[in-house]
Amino acid sequence: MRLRALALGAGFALTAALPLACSDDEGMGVGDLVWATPPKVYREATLPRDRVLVGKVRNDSLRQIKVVATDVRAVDEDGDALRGNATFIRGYIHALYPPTRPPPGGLPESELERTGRELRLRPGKTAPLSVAWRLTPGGEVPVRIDYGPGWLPIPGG
Amino acid sequence: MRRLLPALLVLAALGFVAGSAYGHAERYAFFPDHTLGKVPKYRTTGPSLVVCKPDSRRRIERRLRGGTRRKNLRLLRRCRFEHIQAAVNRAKSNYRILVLPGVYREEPSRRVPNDDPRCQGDQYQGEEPGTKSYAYQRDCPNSQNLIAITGDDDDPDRRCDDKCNLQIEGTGQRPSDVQVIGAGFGNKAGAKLNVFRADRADGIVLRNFLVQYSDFNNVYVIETNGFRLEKIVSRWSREYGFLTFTSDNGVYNRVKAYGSGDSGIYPGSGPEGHCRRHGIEVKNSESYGNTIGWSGTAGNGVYTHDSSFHHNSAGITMDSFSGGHPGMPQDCSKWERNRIYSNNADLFNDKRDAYCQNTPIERRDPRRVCPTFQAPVGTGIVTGGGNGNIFKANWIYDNWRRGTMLFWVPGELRGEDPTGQSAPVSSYETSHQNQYVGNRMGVRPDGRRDPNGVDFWWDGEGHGNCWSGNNGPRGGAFTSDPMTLFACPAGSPDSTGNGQKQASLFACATWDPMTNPDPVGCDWFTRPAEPG
Repeated sequence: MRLRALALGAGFALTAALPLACSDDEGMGVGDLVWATPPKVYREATLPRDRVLVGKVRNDSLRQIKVVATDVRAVDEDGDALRGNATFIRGYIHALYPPTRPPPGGLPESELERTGRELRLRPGKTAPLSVAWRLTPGGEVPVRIDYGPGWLPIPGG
Repeated sequence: MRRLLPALLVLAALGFVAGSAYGHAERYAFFPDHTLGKVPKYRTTGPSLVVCKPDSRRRIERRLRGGTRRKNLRLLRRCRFEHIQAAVNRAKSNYRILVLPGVYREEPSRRVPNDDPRCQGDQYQGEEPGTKSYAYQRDCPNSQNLIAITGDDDDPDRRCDDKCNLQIEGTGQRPSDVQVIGAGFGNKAGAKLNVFRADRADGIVLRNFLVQYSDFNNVYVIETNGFRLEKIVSRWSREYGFLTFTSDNGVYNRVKAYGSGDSGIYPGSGPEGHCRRHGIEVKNSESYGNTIGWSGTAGNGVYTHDSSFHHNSAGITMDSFSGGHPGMPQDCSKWERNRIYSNNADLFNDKRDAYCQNTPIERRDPRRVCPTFQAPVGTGIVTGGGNGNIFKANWIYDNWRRGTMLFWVPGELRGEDPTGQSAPVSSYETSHQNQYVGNRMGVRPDGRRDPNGVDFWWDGEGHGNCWSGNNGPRGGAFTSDPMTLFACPAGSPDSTGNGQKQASLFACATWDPMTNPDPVGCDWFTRPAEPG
């Protein structure tokens, strides 16, 4: 958990060092990505402690950004990550390669992007983002989506 | 409780194994011209070669009776081959290869290295990473395959030139009288991706044997115009019991598949008849105890009838989930008079996850299924991005999550088809004009009530989807989510669907058996309670 806080801190530092990155102290988030449309948070009846946030992000910087889904987490006020997962797709699919049978050299970039594991987003372009997290009894609620070099606010978070 | 670190360590330990294996991706494959082929018939006459084992006589005398016994004893006198591949190598087009009772391990094939040094160079590489060309299969047939039938010579037409219309059949009374056995999984000595590979082997007939222990497919048919798979038991493959791909004019008849890590029966990239014809028929067959009973990415133009799919984690899936499959998006398969029931196999539980994560692939017990793809446990039929499918007069019961499930897959997720054999990508290309007609839901054929969690689940997306004449127990009402469905033939008006239902699927895409076996936000991998 502390590692995540450190990573978030590093993200802030990186953002401050990059003149093209935006930052906003009024709850809009920090970094190159902004919500293109207000995200929605859903709860599945069969998973009362789980939440799934679905939104669309836009790259508001002037350069292409790369984000890896495993770096995306819902974090609480202290910067601690909740257990969860993220994907940059707006549907259910699976990979061409079985998970235990990747090709030599690993999955090609095109497959990583197609399956929502990585996002390369050009300036001004949008992409779907889905983040799921699990609440713990008595635990903190998440307030933002940390994606490494920046974060996005969670509505109502 | 999941322990991520040990799983990652095991994954790291397995890294070499996985990295040196071949992918699910195949070389660029192309549909045959269906007008140039036909479904082959089973033949009892014509030139033949006989294969036997030193103990075949003993097996014949112990296991066979009557005319079958006498016939096998006569054939024994003609036996010239100890291995099936050796007979295939000697055979010419239209030959029958008669395999006498015995256990066939194909030791010479097992000794061929998996990366055969005789087949190095660009001409042997496929277009996708880790794939091999047709020339590789032709020139080094036993590098990846225990038994390979490659029919096309080096001309560019992708059609069979020699070893066409081969028939390989066990001569016993039951499939189990002739057993063809792979060495196992992963880097185990002698392990092969496929036990049987029929590659551009137009008119192939495989009949009356048992096959097991492939690392990928027990029976694999690719780019083949005309095939018959009949009276075969296929079990305990790491991935697929039967897999046919970019093939046409085919029949699966009286096959049984169980214990597959992915699917028992997989007619993927099926015939492109676009609802004018069904090019592959699956009938009188049974698939159970697999992660999925029947699946087909781009599982087009398949008519499946009078078969049963039961006690899998999910009974049937047809989809437009993945790239690399010509014929996208999926369309026009038909399901009639099948029994699709009790698909609640709990293969994603913590204990199984731990076994699969912590046991190196080559040391796994092939009889313990380790799921290689995700499936919504407790579901009868999943249509994940498909059009124009017909589900008619099936018995669908005792699937604890959902009897059927229909949802949209955005076209951009499957990506463009580099072979040019798919429709141009369109975001809302699925799921349209699927018909559910006259099915018996939540009731057994004997009339006893045996409910599904919900009979029909739909994300509300698409147009022209319809439900008519379906009944619950005693001819009563069925259950559905949404409550209101649309009658045939007009079906549903165009809609982008229910966002919350669609959101419930996203997290399931992050499943990984090693690193994320229970994705947060996805309930697919917990077996639902039995509905009351």
